[in-house]
Amino acid sequence: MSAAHAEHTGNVFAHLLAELGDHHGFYVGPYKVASLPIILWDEGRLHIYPSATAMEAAGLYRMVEGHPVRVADGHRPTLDLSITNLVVYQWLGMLLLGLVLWRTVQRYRRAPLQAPRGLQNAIEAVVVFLRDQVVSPNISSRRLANGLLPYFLTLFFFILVLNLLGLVPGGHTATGSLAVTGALALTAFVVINGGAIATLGFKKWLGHLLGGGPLWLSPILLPIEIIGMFAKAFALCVRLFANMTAGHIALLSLVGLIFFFGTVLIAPVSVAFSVFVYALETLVAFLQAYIFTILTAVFLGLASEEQH
Amino acid sequence: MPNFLEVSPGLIFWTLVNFSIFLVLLARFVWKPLLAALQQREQQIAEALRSAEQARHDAEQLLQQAQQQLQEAQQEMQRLIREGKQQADAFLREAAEKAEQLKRQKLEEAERELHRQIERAYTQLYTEIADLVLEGTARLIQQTLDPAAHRRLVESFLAEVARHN
Repeated sequence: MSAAHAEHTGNVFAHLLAELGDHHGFYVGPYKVASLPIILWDEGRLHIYPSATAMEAAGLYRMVEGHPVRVADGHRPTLDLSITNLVVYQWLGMLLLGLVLWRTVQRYRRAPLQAPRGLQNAIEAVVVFLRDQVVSPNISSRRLANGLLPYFLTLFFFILVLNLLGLVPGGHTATGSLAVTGALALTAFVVINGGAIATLGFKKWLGHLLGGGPLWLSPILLPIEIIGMFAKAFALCVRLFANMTAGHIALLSLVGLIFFFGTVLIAPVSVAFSVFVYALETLVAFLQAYIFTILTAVFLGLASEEQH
Repeated sequence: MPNFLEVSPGLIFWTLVNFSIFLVLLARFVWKPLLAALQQREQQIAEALRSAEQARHDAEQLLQQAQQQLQEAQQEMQRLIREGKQQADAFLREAAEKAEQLKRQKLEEAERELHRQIERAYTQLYTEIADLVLEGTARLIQQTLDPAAHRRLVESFLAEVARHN
């Protein structure tokens, strides 16, 4: 294989990998469909531009490697709050899911006592499963379980629809970004510890941080418990991100084989494995939404347990 | 660092905003009515099951009662038949006895009447014989002891007896 050829294949793979990240602008597959507004918070001032082109035309910032930087010193702005590709995909997911759920709820409003049909049945099965198998067994306080049920339901469906949007050809996976999963893990962190404080009271929750050991052990146990608290949320964040990204990278690698070997003959193998991985990813999309939800519930249950 | 490993604070911010809005909207407009409807349906199903169980229980009890009544009625019926038979038997026997008694009574009466008639006939006969004997004797005593006349007298007497009989 020639050096030039290898370089070319490397470029393709790097290019495809870059597609996994976030972008300024709305993309379907590798194609930019629309420009999105750029919002920058820099040194106490808010800058809003309708698009990257408009921003560059204004002369204060320009795009370097997909990020806006100051023209003056080449540094990035303090905070880039732009509407990016994955934000739009979240909106798409919310819109889609919102419409489906709204239509479903209309059925309940019309005839609450009728047996569920079709999509309503599927959604109801998931809702009942989450209520009876995920939330109720893990959260002992009935009031807290009822209060947090909407959070868990929303969490599951939000993650699920974003996972599935990433499987639609041309779609981008919002949950394949550490920022998105990190934000979701942050809500889980708040729910876990907020729920624990609500159940136990602040004093007992602090006692929890001592790990149930004697006081003289607290110099060791306290850091461990605090690290554990954050590690749980961090694990949630990385698990979802890694699972969603890994499948995509596996797919890219399989397609990349064709370019790597430079022959069409490898295509049937790539396609066969891609279909398999795609099916697996569909399973993982549901599985990871479920795992994120149940782990949050389990962690909340553990955190709000009385000391024995 | 590859592009996809970057953690953009802006994306964290927007995800939090999106998720929070989504949570509030869904909680208010989807989960609340949906969960309420689910609960309502579950309650209704539980209620229906309970009432069905109750109805089954009631029906079973009714059936048992009906069977019991039927059995009682059959027993009553058999008792009535048995009693009727007994009464009829007793009645028949009584009637037969009465008839027998009546028959015997009538027979006895008839016999007694017959005896009485016979006795009366005898009495009458004796009186008449005595009268005749007396009359004959009187006639005889009035006549001489003429054997021929005696003979005629007896013969006429006998002829008179024969005529009487």
